[in-house]
This record gives sequence, C-alpha cells and structure tokens, in this order.
Amino acid sequence: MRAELMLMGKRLDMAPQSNRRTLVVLIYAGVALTMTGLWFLDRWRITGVYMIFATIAVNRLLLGGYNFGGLIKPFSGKAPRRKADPPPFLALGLRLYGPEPEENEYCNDERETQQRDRAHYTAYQGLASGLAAIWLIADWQANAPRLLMWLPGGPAIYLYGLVLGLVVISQTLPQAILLWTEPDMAEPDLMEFGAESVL
Amino acid sequence: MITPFKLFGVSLARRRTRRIVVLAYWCVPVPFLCTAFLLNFQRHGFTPIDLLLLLPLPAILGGYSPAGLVKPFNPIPFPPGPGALESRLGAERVKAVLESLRLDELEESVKERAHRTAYALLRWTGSAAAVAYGVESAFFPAWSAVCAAMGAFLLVIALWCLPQSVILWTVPDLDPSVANETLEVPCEQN
Repeated sequence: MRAELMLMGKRLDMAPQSNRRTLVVLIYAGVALTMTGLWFLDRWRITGVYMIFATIAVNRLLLGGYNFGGLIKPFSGKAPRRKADPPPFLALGLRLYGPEPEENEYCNDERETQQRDRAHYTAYQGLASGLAAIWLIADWQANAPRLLMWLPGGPAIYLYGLVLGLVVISQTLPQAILLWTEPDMAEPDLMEFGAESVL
Repeated sequence: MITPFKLFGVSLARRRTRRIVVLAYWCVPVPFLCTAFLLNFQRHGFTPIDLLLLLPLPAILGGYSPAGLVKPFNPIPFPPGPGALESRLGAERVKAVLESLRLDELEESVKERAHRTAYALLRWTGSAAAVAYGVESAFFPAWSAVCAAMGAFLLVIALWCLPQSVILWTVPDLDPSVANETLEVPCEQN
C-alpha cells in the first residue's frame, strides 16, 4: 500500500489511518451523490452504465487494487501493460507519460497477499448478504408493495438502483476494507539509516 | 480443509473424486432448483418456499453450514449448556469433534484464497448480469421481473456455493494418513 497519493498535482499523506478512512468516506459519499444526480437526470436509464465507468476511474486514480494506480497495489501482482514503442511526443509534452513502475510497486509480498485474501473474504460476506437482500425484493417488479407505490417512477427503478449500487460496491469493497483496517504506517527509523551522523 | 466424512460411502481424499462431485453438484441439483424456482415464481411470485429451496445447497458442500464436505468457515461455538447431543455423546466427545472441525492457519489461508478466486469470478459475472438486466428491462419490460428474480437466484446460489466448489476443486490429494482419519475420539469415562 502506498503512503501517499498524488491528486491534482498535490501530494496527500495517506500514512495515517484517519486520512485513509476519510478518503473512503469521501469516495462513497461521492458515489452516492453521483447516483442521486444521475437519477434526477434520466433515472439511470442510460446513465446507469456510466456508474461502472466511474468506478473504474475511482479504482484507477484513488483506490487501486483492480487497476494499476491508486493506493493499493494491483491484486493480480502483474505489471501494467506498456507498449514497447516510445511514448508519443504529445504525451511527453503534456507529461502524461508515466515511467516504468518498479517491481515493488506492483508485486505483493506474503503479508500483502494474506491481507488481500482476507479483505476479499470479508467483502464476500457483505456482498452475499447484499445480493440475498436484492433477491428477496426482486419480486417488486411484478408485485410492488403498496407502501412503495407513491414513489415516483415505481419500485422497479429503485431495484435497478440497488443493483447498480451493489455492482459499484463489489468493485471497490476489498480496497476500501484494506484502506480502512490497515493501521497507521510506521515512519522509517532515521537512526537506522545513519541520520545521527547527518544531524 | 476437507472433512473426513464420506459421501455415500465414497472417500473424497482424491481430487479427481472431488472434481466429479463438484461437476455433478452444478449439473444436477442446481439446475433442478433453478427450474423449481422459475416455475414457482411464474405461478405464485416470490413465496417462502423459495427460501426453503436454498437451504439444502450449502448443506451438501459445507463451509457456510456446520455439516458438509468442506469444514465450516466459521468455528462452531461449543454449546453453553448440557444439551441433548452432549448428554448422549459426552461433553469431551462433542468438544473433540468441534475442535477437529476448526480451521488451522493453513486452512484459513486456503479459505480466504478460495473466496478471492470466487470473488474474482463473480465480480465480472455480476457486473455483466447487471448491465444485461438494465438493457433487457429497457427493451423487454415484460420479461424483466422473471429475469431479475432468476438472475438474483443464480447469483445467490453461486455466492453461497462457489468458494466451497473452488476448495474441493483445487485442494490436492490428501495424505493417506489424513484421508483415513475419522472422528473417533475416546468416550467419556463415567
């Protein structure tokens, strides 16, 4: 797990657990706000699929895990795909070209592999419960409860919203669990690196 | 990770046997239950009978149920008071059986890795199913209710049974000494 995040050209210190938890809360609040906004736009008829693209972007830029980039190393432990050709001039001019990552940026050690598997186990339990709940209310489309009939658009659209929410959560929950549970990262002991002589 | 129980007298120590069991499981009871659910749902909608359909599934493979081919993922708590089972078998015997079903460190890692594999399999399957559901409900709204219920039912079954299937499929042949191990424990001295 990385200790800092580059966002809008600024370095954010993610070593303290509280900062990481704040990030997780902000991400899910942002997702909830986006979903609410898209509902007002067209009731997720077309824009619902965009939530999946938004989730990929969140993974790529902030969380990592299923994409290279973000705080968590790739779960697959594989290096990101790179073209053998040199980067185009435009990419170099706009500084969009990232250097070849070092091995420790994508390879998980034994401890990280264990943490990854445990996070997936925990996420699996939550996902199973969520999906079971959705299955129990899948009947809404045919037999909507009278209590929900006053809702605009009918209960079916809310069922679709729950499904979309579950898809977003399934793509991000293991990373969120890792960021939430990992304790504060220890600062490197300067004395070990001979800082005494420097001071 | 695999319990020493036998399925219809057949030992599951060999991986090949376990793979046949997994294939048979996904080819016979699962389609049967899906058909039963679909027929019931089309006639009566969602009923409590549908919940009963799900109960026997994990009971065969274990993991999420106390009995089955895979050891329970969560430890079974020792009964607090003298129950019927304890009075028949003796406290020490019950305790020994429950202890033998607890996962050690290696088995815990196998369990977590199997869940990660199952998660990876279901992550994209579920997302593709959600997109298909959105498209289908836009173009064929008449089928939308049945498809949603059926898709969710299949995914619930997969979520409940896939990690155990992965474990049964991937764990190599058991050591003969472990395979022949039974839950024999000395009876409590009265």
